[in-house]
Amino acid sequence: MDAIVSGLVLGGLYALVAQGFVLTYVTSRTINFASGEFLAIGAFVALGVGSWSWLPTPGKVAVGVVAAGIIGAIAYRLLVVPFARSEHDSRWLLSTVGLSYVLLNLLTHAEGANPQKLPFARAEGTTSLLGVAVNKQQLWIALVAVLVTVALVLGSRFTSAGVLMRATAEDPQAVSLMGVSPRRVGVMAYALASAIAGLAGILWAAEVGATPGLGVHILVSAFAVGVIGGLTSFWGPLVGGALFAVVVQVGSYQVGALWGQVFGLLLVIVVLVIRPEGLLGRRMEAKL
Amino acid sequence: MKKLAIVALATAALALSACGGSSEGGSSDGTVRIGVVGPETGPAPQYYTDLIRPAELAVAQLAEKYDLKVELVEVDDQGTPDGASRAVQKLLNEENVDAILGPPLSGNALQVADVIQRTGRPWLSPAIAPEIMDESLEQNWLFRTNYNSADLSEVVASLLFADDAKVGVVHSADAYGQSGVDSVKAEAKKLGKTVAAVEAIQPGATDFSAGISRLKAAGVDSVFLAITAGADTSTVTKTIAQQGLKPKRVVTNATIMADFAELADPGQWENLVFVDPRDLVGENLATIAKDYQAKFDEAPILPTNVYSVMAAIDAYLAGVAEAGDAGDYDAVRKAMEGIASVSVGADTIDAPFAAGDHELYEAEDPSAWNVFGFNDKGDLEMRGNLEECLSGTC
Repeated sequence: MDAIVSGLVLGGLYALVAQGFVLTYVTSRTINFASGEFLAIGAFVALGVGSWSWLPTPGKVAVGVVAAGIIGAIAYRLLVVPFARSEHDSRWLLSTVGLSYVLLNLLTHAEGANPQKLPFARAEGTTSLLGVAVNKQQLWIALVAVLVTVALVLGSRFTSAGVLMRATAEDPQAVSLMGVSPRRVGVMAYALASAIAGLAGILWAAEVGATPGLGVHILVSAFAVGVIGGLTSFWGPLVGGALFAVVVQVGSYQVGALWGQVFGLLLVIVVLVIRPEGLLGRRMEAKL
Repeated sequence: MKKLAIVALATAALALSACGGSSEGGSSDGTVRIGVVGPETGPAPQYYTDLIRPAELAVAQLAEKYDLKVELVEVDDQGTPDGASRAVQKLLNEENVDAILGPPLSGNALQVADVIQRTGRPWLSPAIAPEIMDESLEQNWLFRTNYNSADLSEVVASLLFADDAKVGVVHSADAYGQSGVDSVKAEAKKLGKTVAAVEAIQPGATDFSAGISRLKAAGVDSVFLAITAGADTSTVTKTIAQQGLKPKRVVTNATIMADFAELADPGQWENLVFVDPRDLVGENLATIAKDYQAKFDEAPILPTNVYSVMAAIDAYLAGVAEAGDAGDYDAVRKAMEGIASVSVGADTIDAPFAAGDHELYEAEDPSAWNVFGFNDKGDLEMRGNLEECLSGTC
């Protein structure tokens, strides 16, 4: 029971980051491999405004989230659009990986490698969930992941921006013929995805401290979660996150802490073999 | 054919220069060139920061004392064994340095140990893996100015296993952590005890509840942490508190000083102590930290590494001054074995090395090792020496 509950809670963090992959994949068929660094950007910007005593905590969080979103939008325009010119152009993969290295080094030089405590946006201590002691901050992040997922599902159905995103996912050429630029939709998706990564970064940094490598360790798990749940469904990350993290935790509890991740990645392989589009995903042409 | 012969000769000449064996070299203008290799990039750059900075600090203070012109040649090993190998080859073959300082990470030091020993240059190391030192070598070029993890395990074993405690070990999944767990197991065997559970943590792990749950299931009530980064130590101690594992003691070493108190809450260091042979709260280290702060505008991250590096530079420059020529590597090595003392700030360690003894610290005397913990505010405090703590008076 401990493994299942802790897995469900831990899966929320991975799911939150994986939502960014879904957003960019459905709208532009690309994935931002520098997403890990956007966690760190959100955290460091929030840390930077942490001393503004006149700004309440939600405001500080919002500044970090918006900053990550703006940088994400710029990154899409400058580093994804020029390298994703056709369905078979996959240079965006290299440009986003390159961006990851550049941002990591810039952040390290600017902020140093050591963790810096984020003194707000943290729920301290533990609480009991189904009789199992869980970290309050992890639980809080899991709840945020559910809220963000619900907001994305509702937003994609009931707002004009959401409808545009869905239309672009279905047929970008038709959207283009109707006078809407798929690139503009891509900018919007990258901004939103990076903002979500920034939010995840702030909430996680409040627990473990802000470091340039904050997202590095989360990125692989988040990508695994995206693959398991499906990169074309907003519900996918939640399902994938829950499954992946529960398998990791059960493996860790039963065999050893180092083995958990191995079991989780084995699950990814199983899903790729049985259902390559992910458990809740549907087949789409990728630019790879 | 002639071309082939020339290429073969050139290759052989390059290979010979790479493999070394020569005992003379150095720069023509008499400048002592020390190659500094550490993880400027990669997962643990704090170990590079507190390698290069104390080296610069020590050189600034000691070059005049020994009347030497000293140059530091820095190369990034990227925190990987491969990177360390490339960096050391560059220092030896392209930069032709007179001595090598680093790498500070045990796994990287292990990777380059053979190359440096075969090449024959004075090698100054703060890495604590016991395996990098082979004192049976006829010409041992390694001088370690930190303790090694086998010595640490020997002294902490008595503390860990006191009161018939059931001991569990949490180690980071790297060479440093593996070396730590191996050393504790070896000491347990000597004492006729066994380690009840061993769990590994990946650097930067998001959760360690499974590991602590397994320690709890094994009935562990005394925990040794051999973890590279203070942030990971914080993750482990947080989970210990969260899971309700209430060990009599959690013992670790000074690597905890990097970031732990910054990230952890008071509940996480309640029963936590660490052991070190240096006085980490004394006037001398405070003065060194002040000088460091003045020069670099930041406090030291790993004060013990700062101390080790400054000791290494002092020992090496004393050896060069004694030998009279940094390029006469063998003479420098022998001079280092015979130096009367090593100074770090106001501290002096007499007869630091000898032929067949290139370790600055020994494990024999528990009263020479200090036990530290954190007070309510998270400030470091000395609880007493290990002997006192074992007799219950600290």
